[in-house]
Amino acid sequence: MKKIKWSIMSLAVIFSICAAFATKPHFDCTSYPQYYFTGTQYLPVATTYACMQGTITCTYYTTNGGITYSPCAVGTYNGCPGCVVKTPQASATPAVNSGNSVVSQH
Amino acid sequence: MFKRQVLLECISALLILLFVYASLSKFLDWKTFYGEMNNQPLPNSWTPFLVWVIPCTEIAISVSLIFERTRLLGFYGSLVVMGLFTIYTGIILLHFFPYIPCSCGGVIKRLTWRQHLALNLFFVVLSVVGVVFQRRKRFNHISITKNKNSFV
Repeated sequence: MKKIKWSIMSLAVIFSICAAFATKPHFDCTSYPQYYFTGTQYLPVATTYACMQGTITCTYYTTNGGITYSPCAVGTYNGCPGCVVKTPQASATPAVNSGNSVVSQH
Repeated sequence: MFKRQVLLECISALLILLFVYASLSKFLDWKTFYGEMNNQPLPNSWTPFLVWVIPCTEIAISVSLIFERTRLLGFYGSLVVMGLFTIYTGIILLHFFPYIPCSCGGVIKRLTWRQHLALNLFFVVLSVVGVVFQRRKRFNHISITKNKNSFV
């Protein structure tokens, strides 16, 4: 029984170690500056950003100074994770609308 | 009895396989793991603590599952950890958090959150079976020892 036990255990440990090394990413695109695509241009990502669940490309990277961009992370780009959109309060003097929603960090 | 023992060994081996692979993948791709932890809808101040606690707990559970003396503890640990992961996955799927983060970790990152939930549930069931069988085995061992002593 001990022989069976130790062979099963050794097999499990060796297999998991080999699998971990085999699936280790060889090239880390996140080590390059990340950009997101607005639809017309590539802009640098925010200081804190999240790639939410999705199948599209979340961020891109470039190795030739912005001539070409390659996909890196997968998901939907969110430039402000954990932000809550506040509804602007009605005031006597309306604020100039820059087109952006008012956001606040938790 | 022999079949049950082999089943216990197989359950332990599967859990060891999961935990060693998961922890090693995190250590081998540390930077990505750190970033992905920051990506989770948990306070970022928890990240420096979680990035060490999660893989170290996984390794500790794997080691305790190898040895007969600590195996029950290992099954309990596995049940707690897999239970917590399952609850977290369920909360994510119920849209409890403001956004759904990526599902990450080695080759497991290719799974969707639903597939993650199914995988977690499978390992929760394995841990429960492991706890039940290991407890029964220990109970049988104690009663056999007691009976032997009563004959003396």
